[in-house]
Amino acid sequence: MVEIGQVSLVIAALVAAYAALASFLGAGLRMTDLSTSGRYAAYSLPLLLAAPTVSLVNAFVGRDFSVRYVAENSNLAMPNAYTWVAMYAGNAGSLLFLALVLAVTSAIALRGLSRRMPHTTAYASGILMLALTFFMVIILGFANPLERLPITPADGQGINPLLVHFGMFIHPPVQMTGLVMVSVPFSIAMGAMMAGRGGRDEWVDQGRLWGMITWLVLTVGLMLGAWWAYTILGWGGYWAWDPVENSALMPWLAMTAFVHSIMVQKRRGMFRMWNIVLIITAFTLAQMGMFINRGGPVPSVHSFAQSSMGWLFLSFMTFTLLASLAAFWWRAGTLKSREGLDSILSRESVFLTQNVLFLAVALVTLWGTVFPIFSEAAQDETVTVGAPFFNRVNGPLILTLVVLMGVGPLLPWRRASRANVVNALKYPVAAGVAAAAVLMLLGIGRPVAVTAFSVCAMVVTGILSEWVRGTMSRRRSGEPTPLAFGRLLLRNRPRYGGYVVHLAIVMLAVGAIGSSFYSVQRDMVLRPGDTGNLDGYSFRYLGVEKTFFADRVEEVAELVVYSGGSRLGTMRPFRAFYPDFRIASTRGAIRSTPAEDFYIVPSEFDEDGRAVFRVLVNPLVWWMWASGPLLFVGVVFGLWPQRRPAAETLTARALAQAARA
Amino acid sequence: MLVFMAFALALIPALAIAYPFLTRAGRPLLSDEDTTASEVSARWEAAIAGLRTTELEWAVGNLAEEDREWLRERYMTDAALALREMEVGDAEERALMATVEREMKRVRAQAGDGE
Amino acid sequence: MNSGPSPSHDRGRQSGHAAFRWYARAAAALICLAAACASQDDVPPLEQRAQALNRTIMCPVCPGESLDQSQHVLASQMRAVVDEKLAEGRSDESIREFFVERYGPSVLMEPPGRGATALVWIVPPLGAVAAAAGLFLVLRSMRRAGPAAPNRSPANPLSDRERESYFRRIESAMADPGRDERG
Repeated sequence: MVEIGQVSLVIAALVAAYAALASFLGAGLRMTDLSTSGRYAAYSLPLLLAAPTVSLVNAFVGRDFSVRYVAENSNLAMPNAYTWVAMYAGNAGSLLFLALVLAVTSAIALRGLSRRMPHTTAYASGILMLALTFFMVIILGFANPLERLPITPADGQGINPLLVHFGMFIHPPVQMTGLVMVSVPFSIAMGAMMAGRGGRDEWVDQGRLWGMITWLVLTVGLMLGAWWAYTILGWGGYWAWDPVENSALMPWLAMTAFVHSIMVQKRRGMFRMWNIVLIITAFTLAQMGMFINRGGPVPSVHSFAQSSMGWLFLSFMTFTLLASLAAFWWRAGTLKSREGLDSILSRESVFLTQNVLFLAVALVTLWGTVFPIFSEAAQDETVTVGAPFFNRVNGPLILTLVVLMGVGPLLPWRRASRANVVNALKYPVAAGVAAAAVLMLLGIGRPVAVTAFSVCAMVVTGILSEWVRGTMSRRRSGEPTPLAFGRLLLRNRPRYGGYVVHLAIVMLAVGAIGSSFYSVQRDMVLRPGDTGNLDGYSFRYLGVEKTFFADRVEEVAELVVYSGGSRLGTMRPFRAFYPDFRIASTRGAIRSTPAEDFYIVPSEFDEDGRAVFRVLVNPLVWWMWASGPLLFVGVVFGLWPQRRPAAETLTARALAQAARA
Repeated sequence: MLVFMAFALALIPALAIAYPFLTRAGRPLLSDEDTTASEVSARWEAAIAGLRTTELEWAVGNLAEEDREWLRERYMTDAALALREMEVGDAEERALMATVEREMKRVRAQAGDGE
Repeated sequence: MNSGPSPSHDRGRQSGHAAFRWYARAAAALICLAAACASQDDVPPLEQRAQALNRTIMCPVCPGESLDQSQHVLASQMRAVVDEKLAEGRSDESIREFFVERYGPSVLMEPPGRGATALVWIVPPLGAVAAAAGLFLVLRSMRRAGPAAPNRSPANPLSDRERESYFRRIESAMADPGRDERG
């Protein structure tokens, strides 16, 4: 089985290289047969890469330690369920996973694109297959996950205990999928540009579709990562501006700018160059993300897939960036805007401002992430650029973005008169001021947080009041309220899907503001029988139960928690120590309500029965996790194909023909 | 067994690669020009979408009457220009098709004479 | 909104009231939530200071983690040192100095604003100012390039007759009963 996988890897590498070559040659020489052959070769790759994937998973499940990668990333003590997903725990296996995902998404995207724009598709196929060829070269030449060991060990080395968590099933694959999928909208945009179609906007629909899907996957990946950190890393937080977190955030920021900006091209035929710049940036940052994750020159807690092949990723990144810029230079003449700006006070200019801000956040993050490397090289002084820097510099930028999120959708395309803007903003601004006043009255201080909350109130009011007004307007034409509301949303899906996503982002912001400004935290030493108090909660520590496993020692604490005199229940946070890795992994026990999370996590158990707990009350964190599903629904709702109304597509031709007849 | 499997695996991409060459049914020159979406219809769609959005935004109260009039005028003009261009394009296309048809008739007639 | 008895004016006022009712309800629920942010009195001031300080100092042996985050033995020892020194009445700055002397400047989560390292702080605001200026200039130049007249197709503008007939046809196409966006 493993050998078949090996053979299949080699075939896949050859086929990917052929596909890249045939697609590019076919596109450049306009040879349809050749480029079609390249595309068909691309279609066969998911199958060719499924074979090695299956054989690797099979080796894990069958505990075949003769395979080096299996021996290095699992052991007999690993629970069976985890053997199914252990393949992406290390470097080589995750590369194979990336290759498979790239092959599958490429095949789907190319299939959708080929009917509409064959010439563009040929270039897109060339770009995607070139990227895949790169992965295949690394896999075969530097990190082959199916390589055999000369001597089969009796047991494997096991997996990093921090990875043994339910989040492991989902966060890494989703995150990796998101990063690699950025290449799909990139290839569509670049393909259209190289085919000379940059000035026509046919690619925009497909580019937006794949841009949104990629954005969604990246968002879900980031949120799952935050959730994983919150539940397992045991410090009560979820985001630490760690280099690897940053490197996943940067492409997300650029993609967020792209999915907004692409709408301007669709609606107004503007920003054609800018969109290409954005997607090149996003693609480069996604590769930067892989580089920092795998060859990371910056210390990070995420060194799971560390390897010495950072230079390969860096070289490929440099190559694609230069090639993209060259192609951009070559085709810049075809990217003129169809129209100009009617007024500075318009949706278009808010979009551009938003784009610039997103890029600013991305670049600041990049700057802070790589600064230690420069500093060390230039002045031989190691410095750390950590969370306080990013909070201080990115905080105001992000707050401005949230303000724009409230203002932008209320501004019409093309032109808004001043009176109109004042009118559209009066309720939201009033709500923001009212929210600030109420918070002050409640005695909730901290100017920064109050400002941020008040901005959130403004955005929500802007969105909801438009929903109400839209519903009322339909109701006046005789529809009952629920139908009016439903039709309003269903008939304007992209718009209201966008609003739902914005609402989800506000929920996320509310959770982030609440938990970062108003979290209450204490480290407490308790003996069995002792009771601790924090922020209205009291908890009695009953004792600890120690269990020995083959690979770890688990100490499960038992606490009874009360709030305001009523018993909330028993909580069992635990700490597991893995002697082989000398790593302790803790799992907090969390009692979550929309208002606040009560979070308790043990940090030490002494021999004499004393236990050290970290106890936190994190307000509003629940909203962060709740925003995920809402966001998902919003994106899917916005992308769901709408019945194309006759008047918009067919009628133009029909009208023209009718006029002739 | 391994060799057999390897052959089977290699056969899949080999067929996929060879297929377009084996079935050369005179595929047209590789080009996006003739696909359904052209620049004019993109402009038409954008104008119609703009009109719809204008009406929607006016209905929900984000747009003053004066702005609505202004926007309507722009979008209607955009749509009209696109429509006109499409008609002209269609007329040209029809003329071209007619020429081609005439030419083919002539060629056929000549071929018929030759037999 | 415009003055005068336009339909949109009327519409705006009515929906404004409804929006307000909804908003009042939502606000009541939100106030309950906001109350969750209210109290911080349980934690002694010294401990609050310790926590804030721990967040600015890095655990030297655990890549990328602050003292507050890390569960490494060294981190908990260092936390104890922080507590001790705070109890002695030392200032935050002097405690940070103490750790910098031991472990070098990289022990601070936030890079110091001195010397060449100040660059890390200077570049972002400068970049932001440059970006804002660039944005303004770009928007202005796009505005200039923007069309002034509605009927712009200088080579061949719509004639009045064309205008009328096309507008009528577009309107009838828009009146497709299957779909009216504005309702």
